[in-house]
Amino acid sequence: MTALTFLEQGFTRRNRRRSFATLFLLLFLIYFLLPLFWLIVSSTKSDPQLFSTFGLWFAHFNLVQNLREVFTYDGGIYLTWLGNTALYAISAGVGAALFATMAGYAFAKYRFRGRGVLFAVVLGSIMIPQTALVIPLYLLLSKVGIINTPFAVILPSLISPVGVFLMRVYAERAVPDALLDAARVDGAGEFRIFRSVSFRILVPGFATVLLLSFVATWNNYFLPLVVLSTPKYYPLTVGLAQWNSSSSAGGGANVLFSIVVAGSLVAVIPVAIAFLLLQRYWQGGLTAGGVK
Amino acid sequence: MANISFENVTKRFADGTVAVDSLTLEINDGEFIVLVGPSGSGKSTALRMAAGLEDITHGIIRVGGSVVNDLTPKERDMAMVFQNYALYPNMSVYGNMEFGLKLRKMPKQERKARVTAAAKMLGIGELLERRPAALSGGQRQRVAMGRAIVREPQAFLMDEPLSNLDAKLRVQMRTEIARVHQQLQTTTMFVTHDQTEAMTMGDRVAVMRQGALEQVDTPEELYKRPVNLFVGGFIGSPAMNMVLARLVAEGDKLFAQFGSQRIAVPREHLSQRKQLASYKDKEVILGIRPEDLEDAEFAPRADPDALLDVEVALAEPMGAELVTYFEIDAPPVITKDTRDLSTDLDELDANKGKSLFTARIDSQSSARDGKPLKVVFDVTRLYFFDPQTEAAIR
Ligand SMILES: Nc1ncnc2c1ncn2[C@@H]1O[C@H](COP(=O)(O)OP(=O)(O)O)[C@@H](O)[C@H]1O
Ligand SMILES: [Mg+2]
Repeated sequence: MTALTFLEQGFTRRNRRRSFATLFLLLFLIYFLLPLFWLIVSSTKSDPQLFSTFGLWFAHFNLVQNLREVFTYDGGIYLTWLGNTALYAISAGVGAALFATMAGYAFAKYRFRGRGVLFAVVLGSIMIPQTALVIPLYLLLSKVGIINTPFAVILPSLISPVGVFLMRVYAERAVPDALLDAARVDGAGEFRIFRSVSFRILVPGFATVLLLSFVATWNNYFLPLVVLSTPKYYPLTVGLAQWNSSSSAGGGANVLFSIVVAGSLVAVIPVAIAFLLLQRYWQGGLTAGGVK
Repeated sequence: MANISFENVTKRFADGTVAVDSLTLEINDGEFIVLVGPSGSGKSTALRMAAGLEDITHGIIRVGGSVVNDLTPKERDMAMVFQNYALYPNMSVYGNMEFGLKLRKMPKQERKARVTAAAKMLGIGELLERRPAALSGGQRQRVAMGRAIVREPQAFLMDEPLSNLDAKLRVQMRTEIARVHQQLQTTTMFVTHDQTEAMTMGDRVAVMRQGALEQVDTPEELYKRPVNLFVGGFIGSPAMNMVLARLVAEGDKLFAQFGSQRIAVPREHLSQRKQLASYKDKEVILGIRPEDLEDAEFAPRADPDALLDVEVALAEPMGAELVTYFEIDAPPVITKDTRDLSTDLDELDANKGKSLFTARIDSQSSARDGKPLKVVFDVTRLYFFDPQTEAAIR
């Protein structure tokens, strides 16, 4: 290929459009990765270096020391918080995915009275930010007497209106009515059909909602902040924030910034792992072949 | 196994559509009955009501003598085969066939025996471990059949099970299903919109139109004695030719006059159809099947009063025969019935005053596009319908 034709090709409109797109995505990538990069770099620094060295590059490597402190400070309560977060995120993720799958499937596949109204309510609740509901939620939970218990975090997190919406759309497309009819004629009851036939087809959607709820609960700060007051129930978000504010307030007496940063790094890792694990469920074509 | 009876069964959907309108039909134990009719005529709905997948608005369905209106599909114990097979995508072929038995808590050994036997019968023994996605259309069809067979149900309900297959496989599966029925003698309701399929498969054929049962009879009876214009036009391929004609008597002879031509109507028609005499000097719809028309050259002893001079519009050699189209200068039959049936509606409208006839004539005929042709009617096989009621004249 001569240099001239190469040049000509380089300037075709299609190529130019494509390189714009690439550039654009690259900028986004940097925008999203920069904080993560800062987190990785900073977690390797000691407290004084955190403020005295250039933020986006490594200085003296102090990661091991930082990690050791993260897991031992305050009697190793970080591990408890990690455990709490995992418990909240996993139960909320699995629970929300299960409920959303069942509800979305019911909306998609059954005709019942009030279906339209109920679905409108679900759609409406997507628009309401959880933050706005926290105070009424607090009052409700304290009436029931589960304020400052793990249930106060888990129960509200089991509800995922977006998940219901997603699963309805997914079930409408993925589960053919004829399949349900076939199972009915074969003698299966509705729950059995859901369990043995429909759910298998809905797994990719289930995994999606699971991941969304898992991440949302893992990162949730405001709800646990409001409904929990005993540190041993805290998730990482609230715990780390408390460490952070105590070091700010302490005026240098109680400097914990480096372990807050290292603790944040550790907190990110399980989410990344969850993404990688669930990725393989995002494969379409699960129903392929069952119904032509 | 059991007989199935529909007694004035009506289905009205929530949106007001009456899909099945007072259907009364008795299906004998072990019978293979075909429900045939154009799309939207309520065949699937009738079948689904029998299966318990659709509520019955009015009327009664009995299976083996007992009313099943309020029974669940499971309690009715029927097996259904769907047009798109509806195999469980997450289960193997074995799992698909076994599912219904498992739900009925059948011991594992017996399940295995039944599945193996059915798979052998259908020639899918090698495929038992595969998923539906890894099967061809024909194989999926067999698995769907197998899933029904292993259940040993009261009846088989099949909703256009062959229409997703290619033409060759469809013919092959027809014989296969017939063979299975021969072997098992299970009461079967088979739905199709394809009249050829209906005629070749059914012990009896029920013709439906717009939710109503038009006629139920053996294929031969349907062909020879359709009760009305709709059945006459629907059964047979290519469809029966129809023309508006006037019955005129001349001396002791009776003629059917249409356009500038006429053919003799033998006396025997009058004796077979008592009402026909009263149509003298009146209009009737005259029907003649394409296979009852012939090139005069190949029917040397034909009555000269049964001959028609036409000009060939199109001659299609089909190998065994020559399918010839020609126009008759008489008004075509445009009724609700023919509109329901017609695929060439535009043609009907465009050719007002002319009717297009189809003839299946000898393949050796010299008929060619644009050439004149002498066509002979087999006047013993004429059909007569009342132009107003569209009922056959009896
Ligand atoms: N769930 C439904 N709601 C409303 N109308 C329906 C429904 N199912 C079928 N129909 C209507 O009932 C009529 C008969 O349908 P169907 O039994 O499927 O006909 P066929 O199987 O003969 O093609 C059609 O007019 C169809 O549109
Ligand atoms: Mg149908």
